[in-house]
Amino acid sequence: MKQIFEGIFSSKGKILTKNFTPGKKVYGEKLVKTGSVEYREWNPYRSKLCAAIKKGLKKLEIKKGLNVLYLGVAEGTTASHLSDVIEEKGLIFGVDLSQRTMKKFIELCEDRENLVPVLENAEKPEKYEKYLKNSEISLLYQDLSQRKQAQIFNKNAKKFLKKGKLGIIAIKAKSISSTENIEKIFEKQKEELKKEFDIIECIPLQPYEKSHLLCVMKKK
Amino acid sequence: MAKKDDLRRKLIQKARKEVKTKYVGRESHIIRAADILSDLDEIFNLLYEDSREWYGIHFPEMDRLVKTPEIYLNLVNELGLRKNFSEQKILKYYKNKEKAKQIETKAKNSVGSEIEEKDLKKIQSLAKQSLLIKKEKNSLVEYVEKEMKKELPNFSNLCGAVLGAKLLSEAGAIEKMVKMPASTIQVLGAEKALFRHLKSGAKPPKYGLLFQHPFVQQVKTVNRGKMARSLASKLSIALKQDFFSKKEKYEKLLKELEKRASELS
Repeated sequence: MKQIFEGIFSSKGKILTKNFTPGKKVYGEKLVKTGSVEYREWNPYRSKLCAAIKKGLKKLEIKKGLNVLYLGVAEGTTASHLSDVIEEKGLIFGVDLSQRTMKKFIELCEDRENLVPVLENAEKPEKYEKYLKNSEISLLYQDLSQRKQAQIFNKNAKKFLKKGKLGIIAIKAKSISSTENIEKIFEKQKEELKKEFDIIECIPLQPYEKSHLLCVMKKK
Repeated sequence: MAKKDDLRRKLIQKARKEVKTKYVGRESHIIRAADILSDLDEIFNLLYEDSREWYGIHFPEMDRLVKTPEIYLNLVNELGLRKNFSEQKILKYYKNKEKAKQIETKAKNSVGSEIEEKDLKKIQSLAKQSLLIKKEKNSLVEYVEKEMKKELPNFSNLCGAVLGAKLLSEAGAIEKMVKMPASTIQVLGAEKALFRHLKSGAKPPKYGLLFQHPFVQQVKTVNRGKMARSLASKLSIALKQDFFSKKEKYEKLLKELEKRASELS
């Protein structure tokens, strides 16, 4: 077993994270035991961050004790692995608008001490600003299928991220336009993001996800 | 640490409450029911085909004589073996004297092989189940009709409750559908063709689910696109009437549509 990033391991081509709640599965993933430590397999087809890692993401600065703002948690598949990495001292605010998926996420939050559900619209950060004022956010992660993905990301970054902090966004081209050329869409979105961020790297997620791009950035 | 835990607990409580009390519109029930309707249809057809195939071993001639699924299943379920097929008994379930006579004669000199009691029992139980599913479907249709009349009276009167519910299911929510332009309603259910058109410039679809509407069916084939367009615009008006005024005033729209349909057929 090899450590790729802090808290993230790889073994026989599989990406693993240390299970924060040993014995419990989140979405039906495999549990792997090595010695006394239990790991959870991270499925690249279900999580865009894992897909990016599989495709050779070079740098990922996440570590124990970080505070994360996660826009578009849905059922918390990716969030659960992030929660494995940041462990008990960190905290993840999972923002989502859909009450249907939020029901599942709340259950997950009750199991994991570092997850917090926020049922709000990510387009309106002023609504959940008050909950975040005591915790400094070090990572802003976004996975939304909205037309204004980049604008929403910038808006949240302006409010919560300090200079030099990390921003990760998964851009879904299909929800921006179904007719335009995909490369063009990505270019436009990157232009928009450059207003607030320095882009470190961008990784297309084929074959795990179609027409998706994951960008890792630093706040200007 | 304690502060963080407090915050977490508070937010979990809040989210729980919000999820629980958030208003779930009446339409979500209608949409569920409409989706299940087509599922039930599929299940029924599958079971019916299977029972037909199986019973065909014993009495293959009935296959060509009885085309209505319910009648076929009823005959199998109630009469069972071929020797029980007398004209009188058949007439109970199939009110057609000529056909009943035919079935009786065919039953007497059928080429099908004899089957045992235990085989027949299984076939009959299968037939019974399919009939129950049909019954369930019919009661669900009634439910959808009632609910649609209550929620969207003008719209469902123009377009038919079941088709209306299917359109609603495609649109996702009443409010969403009300805000749709008529051209979108026209191609609801033809998303694949629509996006193919937008992407590669193939021909645009003329109709989606609206194809099932009797008005669209009754006009000449070349005029179906025109009819679908008129129908969609009237439906769009009806939706706005429903949403903003709740008064029944669909008659005028219906008359106009009937006129248009007779022009085009």
